[in-house]
Amino acid sequence: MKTQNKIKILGVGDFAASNSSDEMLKTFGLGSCVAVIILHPATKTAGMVHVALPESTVSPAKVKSHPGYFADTGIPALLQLMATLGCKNGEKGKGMVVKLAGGAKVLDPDNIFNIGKRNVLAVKKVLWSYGLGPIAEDVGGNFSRTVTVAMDTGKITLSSPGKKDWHL
Amino acid sequence: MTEHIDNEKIMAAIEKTPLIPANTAQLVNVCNDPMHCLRDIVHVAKHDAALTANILRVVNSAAFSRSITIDTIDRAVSLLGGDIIVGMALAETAETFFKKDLTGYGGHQYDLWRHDLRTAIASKKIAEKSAGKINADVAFTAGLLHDLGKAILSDFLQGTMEKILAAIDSGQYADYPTAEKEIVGVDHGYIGYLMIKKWNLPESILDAVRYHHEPAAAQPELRPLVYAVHLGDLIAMMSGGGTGADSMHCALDPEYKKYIHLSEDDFSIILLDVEEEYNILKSTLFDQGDS
Repeated sequence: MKTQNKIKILGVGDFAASNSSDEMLKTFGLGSCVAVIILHPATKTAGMVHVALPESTVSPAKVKSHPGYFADTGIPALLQLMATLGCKNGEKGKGMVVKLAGGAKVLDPDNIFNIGKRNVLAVKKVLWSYGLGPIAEDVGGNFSRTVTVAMDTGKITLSSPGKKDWHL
Repeated sequence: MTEHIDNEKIMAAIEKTPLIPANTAQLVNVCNDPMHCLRDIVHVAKHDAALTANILRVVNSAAFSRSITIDTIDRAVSLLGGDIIVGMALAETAETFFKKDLTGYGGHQYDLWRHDLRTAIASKKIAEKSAGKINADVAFTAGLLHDLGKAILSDFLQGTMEKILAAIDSGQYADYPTAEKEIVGVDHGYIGYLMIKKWNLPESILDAVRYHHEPAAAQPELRPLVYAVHLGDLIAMMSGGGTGADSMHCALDPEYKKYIHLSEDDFSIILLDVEEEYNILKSTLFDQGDS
């Protein structure tokens, strides 16, 4: 991850959180990957993890260097980071607002390449274990998505070449 | 099929494609020989002072985190491998194409390079799992060159994105390359093939570039390689490295299973391995000034 003009840019498997009102979190061109965005309005904190795969069992060796690669290790890592910023996950997920974007697929009749769909399902399963669930999602389809989270407003903007920007 | 495009402006743009240095073509051909060894690559690289200097710069770059300085070309080549040496030579030769602003696709400067590098690595990883059926160095080179045609076609697709996306969504076109054929008469694969035809590269690479969106049309003996690049291209898109509006709007040919055996887990691991190798190579092969 790198920071450019107060924009934290998340690559595949990166996760970050911030409560600086002039900062933004951004991840470019999500294909089958899923961006899990967690907002904590009480502390005006936002976090995001760029998940590439459903489960860490496929490559446990990579968990240590990049827990964010996987839904089952990325979401706990993000929640842990947010806890250090004072974001408490209350009973049944109270206080956290979760949104999802990404999980696209190529045109594949056999669905073997539909890692996107499996990512979305795995992300939801992990969220449920914390009593969390997305209140909004923009997932699937055959297009890539760039996601920007503005810290001051919690506004999430999506963009894709050939489409007008939209919000989540 | 006649090797001509019924569009004089596109043909004129293709004809302006510069030739590559003889050393670069020789390097690609050496790697295409299944019996080649690193010494053969060293032999070619040694005769190119600029390439030798570049190889030593790359092998000692911070991205590889080496504890000692590598100061001989022999050692540098053995550490980097043939694929990366060829990649360096081609990156320099075709830089103007790789860094082209793909506005016709809604892409940005260097998107083509980033996507081609990811595809090169993915194609190589797939080849490495083919039990020797596919030459991994050749797969890397073919992956690196597969979308070169977009550098020219982009100029002829200005203002078409929204229309193409709507037509794909409504089922009028099967995918983006089909739309290119309908609108311009050819897809980027064919343009790329015509661009590199004069470069004296192996036929396998020409077929892979030409048919990476219709691999079944390649010569039967070359299909394993062409399918590797076909899959490598899609993996690059899935991992977020597309070239614009066409990203993810490409069809997978399920016939790949006849030539390449990969489980779901294999795909998953390749996806991560590509990302990690890409992060090492992206800034070392040439400076693109950004992520």
